[in-house]
Amino acid sequence: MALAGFLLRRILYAAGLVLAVLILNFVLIRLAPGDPTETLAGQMGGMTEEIRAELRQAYGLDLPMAQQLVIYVGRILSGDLGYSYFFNLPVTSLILERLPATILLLLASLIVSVVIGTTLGVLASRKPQGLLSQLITVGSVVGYSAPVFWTGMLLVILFASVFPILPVSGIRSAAISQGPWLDMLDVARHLVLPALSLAFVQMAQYSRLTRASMLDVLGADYIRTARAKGLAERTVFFKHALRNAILPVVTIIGLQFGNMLAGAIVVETVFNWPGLGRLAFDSVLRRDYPTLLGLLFFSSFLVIVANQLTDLAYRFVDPRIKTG
Amino acid sequence: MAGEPLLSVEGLCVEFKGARGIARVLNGVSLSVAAGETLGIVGESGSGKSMTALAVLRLVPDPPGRISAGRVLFRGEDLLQASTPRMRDIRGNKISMIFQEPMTSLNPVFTVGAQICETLTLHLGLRGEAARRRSIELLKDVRIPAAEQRFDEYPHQLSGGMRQRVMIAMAMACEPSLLIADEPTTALDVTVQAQIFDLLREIQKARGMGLILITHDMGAIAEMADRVAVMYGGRVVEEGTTRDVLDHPQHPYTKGLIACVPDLDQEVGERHALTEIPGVVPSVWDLQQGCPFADRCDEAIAPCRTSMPADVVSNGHRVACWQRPGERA
Repeated sequence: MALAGFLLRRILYAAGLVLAVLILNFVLIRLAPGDPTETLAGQMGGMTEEIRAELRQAYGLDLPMAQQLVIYVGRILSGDLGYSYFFNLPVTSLILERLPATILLLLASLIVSVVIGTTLGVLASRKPQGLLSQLITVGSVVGYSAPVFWTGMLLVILFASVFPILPVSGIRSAAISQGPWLDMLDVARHLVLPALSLAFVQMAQYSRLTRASMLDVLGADYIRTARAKGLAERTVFFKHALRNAILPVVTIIGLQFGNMLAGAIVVETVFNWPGLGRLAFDSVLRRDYPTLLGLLFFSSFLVIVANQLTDLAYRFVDPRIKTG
Repeated sequence: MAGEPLLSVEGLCVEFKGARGIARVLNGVSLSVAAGETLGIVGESGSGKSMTALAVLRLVPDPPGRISAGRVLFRGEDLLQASTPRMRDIRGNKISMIFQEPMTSLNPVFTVGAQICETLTLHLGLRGEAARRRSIELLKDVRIPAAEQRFDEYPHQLSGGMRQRVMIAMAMACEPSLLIADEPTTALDVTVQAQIFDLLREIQKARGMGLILITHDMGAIAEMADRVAVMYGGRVVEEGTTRDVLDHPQHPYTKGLIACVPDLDQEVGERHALTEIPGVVPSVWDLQQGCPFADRCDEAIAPCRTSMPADVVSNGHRVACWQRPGERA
């Protein structure tokens, strides 16, 4: 079947890409001056050459780089991302523990930004020279230019001191469970501000893109056909035009996923959200290289998966694409 | 003329607003078509043929366009005064239109069937299986092979000729009393052109439908039209029965158009070089007072450059030219 073949090809291609990213990350870290034993020596307050040689042997750092790479890749294939210097826990379990919080944050802001962004874009395209369109355009430029941390901090100030109605830090208020529904509501309330500040930049992009794409599509011959059929303007707009105008937006969603992940580092730090982003930020400060390397690997994996899903989604929204 | 006019356009004017001011793309267009009759509208690109068609259905892009004057009487009802819902009820139902570009006139993300069914649902309330059955009938009517299978296909899976047939099927869905075909075969192969014309003629005969055929091809006019209106610079410069106009063209522009048709009957050695009308259609921004054709006309005289000649009608043959004096209308 064509779809099965397409999926198989895609998965092989994605696997190759993950491997390439893995090697690149590994080599980049090795190319950087210094050596993990120096960091350790610094922490221990100095060490003799003998101990250092022993450590290098213990960590496998005395082996040729190619061989180290093979060992590293082999470990990763068996699901072993190494141990965190700081937590003394397997990096895999550190990541998996924080993954749900980040996924929740990313999905929430993705949905918010796509839904609100495209809606604003469509509204702006109805009367391209109208007041509403101008307002949305200005708002989009502001939203796009505002750095995520700044938007986040403004939201914190607004909702911590001016209107203290939403929590501005963490993911849960109380450690004691109040039953599944109240717990979910609690998490949802905590989610609002981080998701909004992460969504803001994306929203601006989706609205700009949708507006431009709609204006382009509205000039198409098939829109004239739809009008000549006697369809109401609403149907022409939301059925015939939007269905076509949404295609470039779908592409961008996939490409934006990496940016959202990067944004999550900032947002999670600002809002003290216990996800991968904050782990990455803390690991940089702690020079926890195995955790960092694991996070880099994992985030590239997520980005590749997101892009594959986008390609797959594209096949469903655009019937003209039938070959992988 | 074959009885009461089905559609009659009177003094239609369309203006476009642009950076250089207001351009009049239609300047008092008058024409009419009766049930069962084919009116050909002929002229070069930019003469206002397509704009006339769009204006009849009030599909002129607004802004920047605007219908500024005139009447469009469809069975006595002025469409320019009709409400928007009334207009929607007429479009695709009583008056249908097919376009020049079959490749881009169908929505690429919906199946052919869905696009035909949409019209059936909108105007006739047909849904589900009933709509599907009717759509397949329509596809068969326009000679699409394997219609059941085509129903579920997307436009990109069909050839240009097939797509134009789908457009015709869609236009025929509600058995309109008037079909406007805007250069329906321009984008198609010559052999496919003939098939599409045959199809249109057949449908028209079977349904007694009025047909407005817009084209720049004199050959198509000779073959299809009962009457012909020649347009230039946003005006109808000559109008009459096809026989009359082709055999005894009155306006220098019409003569020029007819002279441009290559004659394939002559022996190869005896053919003379292709004739052309010197110059190009003036831009709508450059239209001056007087006859729009004056600058390209080798018969032009002084009044041609100062004022537009009024229509002269004799035996149903109408012409607007200073060189054709007579009882002016």
